[in-house]
Amino acid sequence: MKDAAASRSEIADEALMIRFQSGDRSAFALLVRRHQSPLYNFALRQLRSPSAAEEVVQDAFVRVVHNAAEFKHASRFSTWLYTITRNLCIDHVRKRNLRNHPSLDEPKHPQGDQGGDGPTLGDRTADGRANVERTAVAAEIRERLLAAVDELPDEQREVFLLREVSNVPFKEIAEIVGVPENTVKSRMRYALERLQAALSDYEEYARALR
Amino acid sequence: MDCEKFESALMDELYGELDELTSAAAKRHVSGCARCSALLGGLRATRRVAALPRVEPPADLEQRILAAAAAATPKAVPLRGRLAHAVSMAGSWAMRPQTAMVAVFLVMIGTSVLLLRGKSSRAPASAEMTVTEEGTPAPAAPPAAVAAAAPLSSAAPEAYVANRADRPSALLPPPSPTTGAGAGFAVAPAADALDDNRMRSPAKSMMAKGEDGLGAVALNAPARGAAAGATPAFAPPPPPAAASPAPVGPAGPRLEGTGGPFAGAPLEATAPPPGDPSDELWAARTARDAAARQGRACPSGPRFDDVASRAPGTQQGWDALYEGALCYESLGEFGSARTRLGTLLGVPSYRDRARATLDRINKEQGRGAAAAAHAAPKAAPAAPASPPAADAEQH
Repeated sequence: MKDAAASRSEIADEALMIRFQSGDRSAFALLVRRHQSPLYNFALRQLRSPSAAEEVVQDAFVRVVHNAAEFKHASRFSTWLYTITRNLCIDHVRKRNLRNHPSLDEPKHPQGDQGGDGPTLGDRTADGRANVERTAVAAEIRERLLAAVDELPDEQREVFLLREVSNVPFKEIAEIVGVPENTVKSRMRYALERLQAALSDYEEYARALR
Repeated sequence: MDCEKFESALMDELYGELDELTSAAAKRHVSGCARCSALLGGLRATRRVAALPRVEPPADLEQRILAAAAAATPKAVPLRGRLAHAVSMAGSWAMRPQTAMVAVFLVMIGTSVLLLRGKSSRAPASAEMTVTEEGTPAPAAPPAAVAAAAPLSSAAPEAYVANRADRPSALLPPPSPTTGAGAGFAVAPAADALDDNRMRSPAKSMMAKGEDGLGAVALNAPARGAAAGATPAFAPPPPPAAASPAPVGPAGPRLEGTGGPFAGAPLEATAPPPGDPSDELWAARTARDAAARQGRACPSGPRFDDVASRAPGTQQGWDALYEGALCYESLGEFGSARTRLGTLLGVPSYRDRARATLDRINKEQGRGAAAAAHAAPKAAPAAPASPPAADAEQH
């Protein structure tokens, strides 16, 4: 269902892009509204900085405007958009590494994560008396998860984030990162196995949540 | 499905990207394989734990994006800029090797089409090729007013010399520069190939008459314009002005046409057309020379007479008359020879030769008469035998 809806929205993305290429600015606004959040989360997890993520997302959409006439619909719009965003993230990380100091202003784990509105482990608890405990555990899991994701190799992390955060199919991930689909699946499996090892202590807890 | 195939489909099954048939096979395998079941279960649990919370972007992010996009939207490019861009694009296309190849190909095709059209316009395919020959042949029988002379060519003198070399020099004098009647004649073919019957039959009457060849010739002459009856066939030539001699070129006289397309044009020294007096004269000479080589008497007297009667007052006619006289002299027919030579005494170019030949004939006849007179008294004693017979008859 999720994929069907995504496929329908992707189809809709193509139609909106054609309209935007014809001069319809409202079609572009719809594309922004549809993709800004997953795009922002992807950039946020890659860069571990909200401001950097905002800047990257804004630049990505500006580049879409600049190159709208050159978009030949050979691939999906989402693939094109995430390719632009990934490249911007890589450029941002390269520039940051050249400065050779971590960002002291940005916490390792953004404050916003703790207040994320997505479904968390704590939200899945049904018993109110254990809710505080589960909330604490959830916070620990979240911290452990974020750290584990940060510790993933870049190529595994980007595949993990595109699949888990942006819900991009493996075939499109292969186009975005420029590797075969089987390579993408292998990277994804390695990323999950690493996360599994890092969160093994909480696996029983996760099984209990099923 | 086995474990190896299950592991290759594991990620697709984990994220629901398998088709229904393969997914059903994977589920069947998992239900029967503890290892693969544990593998799939562990990854599913990890996914559940590793579900990252969604972070909402700032509320104004959308507005900032739209504002930045609006600022980045390319404005209407001025005409100058668009033209420059168009020229740049055209130039980039023109510099490509493929464009040059196409241009060369089009030039080749266009050139070929133009050439084919030009050829077709000049020579329609339906047009028939026709060949026309300009000019008309010379008349077979030139009129009498033509100043006959041998045709001229560079080969003519040699041909005449070759012809003359075959003739015995004792019978005929060398040709005078003024006449050179034979200069234009080509080398005669073998005289044996010539047919004398055609020429002999009309002149048989002349031959039979012997000394009276003049009379026979006289009978034939009127058809050629000579005075009928009383006047001899070979009348004295007209005043020199009337019969203008043919101009003599470096290689002999030139035969000029009487008119028509060949008026004033020199003719080549090839064999004249049949029936032409020159042809007849040439044939007569050839027969004479052939007979001389064979030690026979001259058979061309009538032929020469025929040419003289057909071309009176012309160079060919005078030549034929003179050579005919020589022919009759060789045959001992001095009377016929004198007749013809007497006519030539009135022709300035032949006067000296005619007189010399007459003197020679007179000497020969004188010697013959003397010899006859010397032989006659010796035969006188024997003569009385015949008169008594006559006397016997009278008595």
